[in-house]
Amino acid sequence: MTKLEELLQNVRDEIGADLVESDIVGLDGFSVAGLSTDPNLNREAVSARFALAMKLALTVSEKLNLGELQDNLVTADNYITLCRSLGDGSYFWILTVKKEATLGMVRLTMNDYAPRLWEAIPR
Amino acid sequence: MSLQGSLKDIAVADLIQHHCVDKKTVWVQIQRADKRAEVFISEGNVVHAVLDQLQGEEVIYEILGWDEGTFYIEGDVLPPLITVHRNWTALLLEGARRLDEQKLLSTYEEKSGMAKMDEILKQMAQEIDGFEAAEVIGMDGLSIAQYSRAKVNLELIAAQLTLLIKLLDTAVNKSTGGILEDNLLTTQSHYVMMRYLPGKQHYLAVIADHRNANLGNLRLVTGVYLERLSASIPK
Repeated sequence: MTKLEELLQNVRDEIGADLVESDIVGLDGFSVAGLSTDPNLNREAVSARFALAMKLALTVSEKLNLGELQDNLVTADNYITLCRSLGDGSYFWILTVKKEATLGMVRLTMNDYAPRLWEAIPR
Repeated sequence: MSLQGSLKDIAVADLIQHHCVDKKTVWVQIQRADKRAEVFISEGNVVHAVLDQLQGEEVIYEILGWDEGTFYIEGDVLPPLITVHRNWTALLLEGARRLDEQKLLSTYEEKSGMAKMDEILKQMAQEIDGFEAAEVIGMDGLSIAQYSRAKVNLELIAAQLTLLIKLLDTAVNKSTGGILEDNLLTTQSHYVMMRYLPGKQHYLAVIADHRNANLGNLRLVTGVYLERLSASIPK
């Protein structure tokens, strides 16, 4: 198990049963490490589509002079998806949780792990 | 003689005028969705009209506003009743006056609806800590109401955010099978909250200062105002 996978496993243990999917994705839309608890969830599709959305979110924050993009939180009727930029913004972390998850706790966990995940990405 | 056609090619007023000027006796049937009107013209005068339970002049005033549907005209059919007593020119003039009045009224309602939405946004702004700007934006990217306390390019916001919400909508639907409810963009200095209004034809976008805003308050207050904003959109 790589360091990156180990950290994602730790996140899974901390968030518990509410975690649905967690992926480290490059801006090219490819996941470099990840896991999912929902067998029906297409991780490749999630990574690719949310990479597009994050790119657009980056453009939006730049054009509107809103400062550096930190994260994007998408609430749907079934899941909540958080996308957080890592390090210099060349990678981001997608974390999907069930709607019942405690959002504040999930964001705290992300704050805690984001720098460590960035460090663990092989370069 | 019989003739049929579409109201897209000829207006109801023109149909009536044409047969009255020519002093014709005809039975005109007009179908619009599930409604069917009948007008009897006898020797160049409208003498009877019926639409569901309605009879007489009011039927003519109602159908003059129809711009979609089909018509069928049969010649030399005598009216079963006489329910219209005004001559055809007076009928058409009164109909035109009523249509103008309706148009004026709907323009007024539209304008007052917009003003009401601006007012609701202003009220909402008072309840959001760190509020900077809010807009109600259609899915065509055009803003229909806005209120701002900061110097922001609201037109640019509307266009950019609409692109983003559309992309996210597709991303959510195609990757997790869910339905997008809202999106919160967090940047170093701002929160940008986007929430669909009921019906998903418009969404509310709120920009707040990251340092002064409270995320829970932002989500709660915007949620409370969605229904009110939706109800005030001019139909």
